[in-house]
Amino acid sequence: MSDVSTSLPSSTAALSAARSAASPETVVVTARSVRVEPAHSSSESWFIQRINPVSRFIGALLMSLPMFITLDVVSACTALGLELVLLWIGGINPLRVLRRTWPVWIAAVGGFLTVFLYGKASGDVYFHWGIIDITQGSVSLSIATFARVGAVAMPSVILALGLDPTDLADGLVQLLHLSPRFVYGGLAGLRMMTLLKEDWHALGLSRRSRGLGDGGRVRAVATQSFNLLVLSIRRATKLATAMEARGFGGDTDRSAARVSKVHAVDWIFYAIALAIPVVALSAAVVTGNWHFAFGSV
Amino acid sequence: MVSNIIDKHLPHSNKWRVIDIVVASIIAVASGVIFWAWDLVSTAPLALFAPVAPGFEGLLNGFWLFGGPLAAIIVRKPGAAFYAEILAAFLELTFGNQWGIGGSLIVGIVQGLFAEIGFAIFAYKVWNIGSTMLSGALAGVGCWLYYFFTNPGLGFLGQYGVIYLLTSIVSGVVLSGIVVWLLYKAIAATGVLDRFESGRTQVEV
Repeated sequence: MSDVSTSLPSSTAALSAARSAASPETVVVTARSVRVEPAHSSSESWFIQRINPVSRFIGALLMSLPMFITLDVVSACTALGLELVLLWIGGINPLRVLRRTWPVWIAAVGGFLTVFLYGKASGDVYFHWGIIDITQGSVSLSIATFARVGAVAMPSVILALGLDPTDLADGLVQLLHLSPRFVYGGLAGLRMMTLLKEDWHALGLSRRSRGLGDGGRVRAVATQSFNLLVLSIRRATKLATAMEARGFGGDTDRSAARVSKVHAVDWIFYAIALAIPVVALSAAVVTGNWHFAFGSV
Repeated sequence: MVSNIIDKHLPHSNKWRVIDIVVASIIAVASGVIFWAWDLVSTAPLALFAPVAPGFEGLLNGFWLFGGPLAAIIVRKPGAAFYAEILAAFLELTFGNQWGIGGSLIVGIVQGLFAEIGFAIFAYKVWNIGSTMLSGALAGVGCWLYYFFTNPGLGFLGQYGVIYLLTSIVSGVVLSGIVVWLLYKAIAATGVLDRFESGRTQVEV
């Protein structure tokens, strides 16, 4: 047991003095007041940091789902502008937002081109070849698609970045009352991911020492990936046994060590999240640009 | 030939054990990492080739569909495909990709639900290459439904839509059906599934 005392971190000189004075049987534990764990930031935005992880998802849904009803430039651009301004107020400037969400814009260009060439035809025909049909209608739809892909995806990508899975799991169980077995079982799987990288490295070394994996690069990666998958299933099997040994998955109710709650700031966030599509859709109706997304044209 | 008849001494149970949850989760995690990697890898090709080659998008879909069928064929419990596909999609979302909550999580839920039908339709009694392929194909249908629901500028059943649907199904059948089945067989052969029904059907009965 004497090893335990030496492996504990010492933060003060007094503590190390206490340790050297301690007999081998004594375990020196850092005083609770001295234990410091820096709070990790769950978002770059001071506002998003404060809201419950479950609220982040609810907010993202409130923001994006109504946007699917219409497909027009006005509503999409209004929402996009509002979101950029709100994120700026929230502490992330537009340049940063765009840099963080660069894949969104590549996907938006893809969406633009696809609808541009194959979108529902209406109005004047500009170009026609095979199934490609560039018309007045498809041009305006494609611009709207571009803006809408951005307006829908951008805020949810920002909201999801940095999300702490453990906090989310607590919220899912305590607020949404999902099955704790599945939520925490899933969390256990997620937490094992940090091990995958080490496993990958170790597997590479052990294969190397056995003279494997020097052939084709693709083949080596494929076999090693398969090995990693098998290894993680084996580890998951062991983990399940360990979890059961500790009473996980039993019939008794779980108690929660970490409390997950919805505060006033969450309600403010819901209101903001809902206001974005409301304003955007109203703008489309007022300016006469409303275009029901599931109509024939 | 390997038979898929379930050993009579160990009747199939639809009740989830802790090991089922944890193993389904780790399969979902591995799938989620691949989903995300595929998001990145496919970003540029999708933007470049999807417009010039209709059907290209659909053919790439299989890489986002296999998580559900793989978990389902291994743990063999109701809801396994649904659960794994959602967890994988969640992971993909938190890593950050181009689609945000809609194109990662919601589409994952739809794909998971459709993949689940492939096994539910047989009352969770048939676990062979056929039901896996059906599950993969249906996941492809789910992907198409989501894509055209959120891309109303293209018609569901316009030429582009039909091509997308067919290629998506083909991709689902091949990558999330046949390849998943072969992968499962290879995993089972290592003996790592000996605590699962799926690892015990190896023996000829």
